[in-house]
Amino acid sequence: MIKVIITGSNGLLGQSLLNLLLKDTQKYQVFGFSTGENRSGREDFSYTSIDITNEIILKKT
Amino acid sequence: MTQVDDCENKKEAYDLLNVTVVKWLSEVSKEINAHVIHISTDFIFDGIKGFYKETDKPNPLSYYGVSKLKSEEVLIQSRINFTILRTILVYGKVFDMSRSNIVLWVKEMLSKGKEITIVDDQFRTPTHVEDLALACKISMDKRAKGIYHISSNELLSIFEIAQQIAAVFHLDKSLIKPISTSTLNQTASRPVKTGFDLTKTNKELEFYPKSFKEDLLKFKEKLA
Repeated sequence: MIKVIITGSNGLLGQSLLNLLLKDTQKYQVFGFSTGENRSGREDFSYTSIDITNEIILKKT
Repeated sequence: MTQVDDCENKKEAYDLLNVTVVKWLSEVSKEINAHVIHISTDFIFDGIKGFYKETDKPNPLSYYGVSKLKSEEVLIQSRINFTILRTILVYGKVFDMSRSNIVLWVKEMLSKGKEITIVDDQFRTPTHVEDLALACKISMDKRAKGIYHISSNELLSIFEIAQQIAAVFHLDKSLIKPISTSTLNQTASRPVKTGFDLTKTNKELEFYPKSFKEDLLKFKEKLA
């Protein structure tokens, strides 16, 4: 199992990559980071609402 | 597009997000031995040569390009495992769209019968977001290291790009009027001719992007 963190999972690429990787949930365990709520329309991954420009919060998460 | 102009007036904010955050992520990645896949841009080049190879010398014209080049340097100096995927004019459609892109915008304007002016003296090889996502996945799976260029394979003026969008979606081409960049008075200057040489991507990633036209037809099918 490959663990993948997508920073910007609400973005154009982020949502596209979610859709691609979540086709193979045997192989990838997906974590999404973005600001605000999860806007990808999917709930089948682990989402964290985060401001990655905050060093302490980013490194702790 | 407007982000490139916005960046000229908010250099510190862009440095924080584009450069400092990449440094922090590389520090965390070093601790946990993770592979970082980083997205960069054709705007690190000056647009004089065109059809850039991964080894061509960067020379950004805008601060956006400067900040993205700095982010690449952070990774190159970090000694972690990284892949830098440089890409050009990304378009596509997903569930939630916070920003538009060239294909959706041209399609929307022409569908409404609105006239648009498009520069005919800047040249690009646009990228379908699904190709970029696939390149991320391939880089992960192959544990590819270093810099790779990801875009379509045919260099077009932005005016030609708009015309192809009109043709594929059966919209009125005559609404698209060519203009020159100099009449726009944009804050940041743009490279005239970018576009990527995909030889390394073809060979090492075994990934063969197609022409904009072919990608557009595929994109149109997905929209339907």
